[in-house]
Amino acid sequence: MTGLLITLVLFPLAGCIAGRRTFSESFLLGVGVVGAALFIGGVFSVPFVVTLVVVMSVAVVRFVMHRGWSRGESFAIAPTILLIAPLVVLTFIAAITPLTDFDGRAFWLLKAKALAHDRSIDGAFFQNREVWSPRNQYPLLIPLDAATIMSLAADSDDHQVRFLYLGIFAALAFHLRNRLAQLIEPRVAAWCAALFVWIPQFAIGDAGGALTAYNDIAVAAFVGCAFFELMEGERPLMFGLWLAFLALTKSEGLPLAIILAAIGAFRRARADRRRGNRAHRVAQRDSANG
Amino acid sequence: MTRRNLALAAIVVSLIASTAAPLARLVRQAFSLRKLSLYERRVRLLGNSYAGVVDVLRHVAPNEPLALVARVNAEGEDAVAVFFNYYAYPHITWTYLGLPLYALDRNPHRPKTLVGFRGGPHLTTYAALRAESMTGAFIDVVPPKEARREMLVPFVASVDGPPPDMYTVEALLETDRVANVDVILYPSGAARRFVVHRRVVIRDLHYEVTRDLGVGWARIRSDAPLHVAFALVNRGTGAVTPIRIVDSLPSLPIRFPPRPNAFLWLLNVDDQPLVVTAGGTNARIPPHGIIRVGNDVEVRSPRPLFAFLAEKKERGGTAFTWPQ
Repeated sequence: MTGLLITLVLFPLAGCIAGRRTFSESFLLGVGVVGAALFIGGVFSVPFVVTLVVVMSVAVVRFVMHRGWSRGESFAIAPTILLIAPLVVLTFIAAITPLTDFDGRAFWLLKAKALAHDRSIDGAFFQNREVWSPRNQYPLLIPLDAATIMSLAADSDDHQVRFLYLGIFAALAFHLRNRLAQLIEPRVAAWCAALFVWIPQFAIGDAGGALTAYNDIAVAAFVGCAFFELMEGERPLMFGLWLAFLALTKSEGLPLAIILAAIGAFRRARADRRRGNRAHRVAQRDSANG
Repeated sequence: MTRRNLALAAIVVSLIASTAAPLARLVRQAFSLRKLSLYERRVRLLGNSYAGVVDVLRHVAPNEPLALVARVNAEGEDAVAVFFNYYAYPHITWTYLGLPLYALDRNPHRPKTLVGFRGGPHLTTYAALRAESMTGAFIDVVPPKEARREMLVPFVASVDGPPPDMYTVEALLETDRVANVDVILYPSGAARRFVVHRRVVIRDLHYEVTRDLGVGWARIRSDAPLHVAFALVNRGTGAVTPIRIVDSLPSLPIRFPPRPNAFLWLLNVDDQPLVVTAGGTNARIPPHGIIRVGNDVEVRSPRPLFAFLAEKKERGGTAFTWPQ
């Protein structure tokens, strides 16, 4: 349960570094911020503990300043129950059943254990001096998050980090509901999110589902977050952050981030051109009027 | 109910139906595991591949590096090695996909403690893994009609040459009834009894007796008449060279035809040291010893001994020259 507690406190708090948001968005943002900060700090050989203390200090200050997380919309009870029920069941399963998936143990969590042990992103493990490091080239954002949980729990067993992956899935579902409610109507958003958590590939897939330690749901979450920012088009910094998290999560994240960035740039250029044309017309009309 | 609600209901029901059953199975599994320890849960789900890791780690020092040697052609064994790596971390492990990679690794820090994966992770030796890697027999000689109860086999080896050369001595033993065959391998003195029911082929006689690699000679006794054949086999190239069975020691001095590329092997069958003259120089053979000297063609000795020439041929073959 230590891992669950750390997961539920650390990441939503860390996400407050970017201002007042819903708990679910803060969770996803925290996953990205902690992993990315540790990675960038690691490039410059800054000790993990220093980076984490700095990030969390700023996050806590901002959390207090903004008085916690913002409340999302209210949703109908039926789709909410349908949304929460499988998440509760999955939490029960994750708390008891050991991890058995392939990639999670062979690659991702082995890296997390090494990061927690070596306290470095270029330590002996990544130079193949400790053990064989399969898929040594994989990005490290999520393993860094998992390593943080392991370090704080003082236990590098994988049962400590099961709730990180489940948490990302749950946060994605709630974030999807909140953001869809702003784009379309809340009733439809509630049902979409409720259906989302029942999709077998996400809920129970043994190669990438919420009960595994694969990074595919994290990729989906960051793509989703970036997509919503793209649709709103009001926070280019946040859009860029989600894309950075995406590229640092999985190799496949980079091409996805490039595509989303290209779409974002195209939309922005078109919006600027429209604004320019409108300003030009207004100026012409003003000069014609004399 | 509107058409839109009907469509939504259909999607909800179909999604829940496809997820609920596997979810329920996972819940039942979690309930069945909830009172077990984490170790027991893992053993229940992962079987030997996890229990073996814990067992191996219990029997080695925390700072003892381990060589994880997975067989390439054994399905899933490489994955078990990868997961050994995972569960054992931060215990230092070196992973080898195939025994030849371990044999070829000339790194002075190469781990000396080996972990094999046949039937689950377990501590093992290079010789045992080498024996495990062998399949089938190469010996293709017909045993002589003449039956024996006692004999010497002058050359019994289990050694590796440069890849792909892997030498063993195969033994073909046939009897009309059940025979208890005692093999003593010298110079180690290791002994083993084989019970032969009509016919048996031993792929690696040296390893089967000593559980180790090496070179020696064998004294064999049987309680029933045996038809036997022995051959030096290069399992890497498939080269097979018959080995002579020795019933009595040759008369002295022993002379060979000149073989410039051959080595002379000398066997002392006694339990006393023996000093012999080969090519004008003296050589001391320890009790029950076997030594290799130059390519001399004449051997003089105060007591009977056995000698032969061995010459390496193309494609991993060997040519023996036996005394007349």
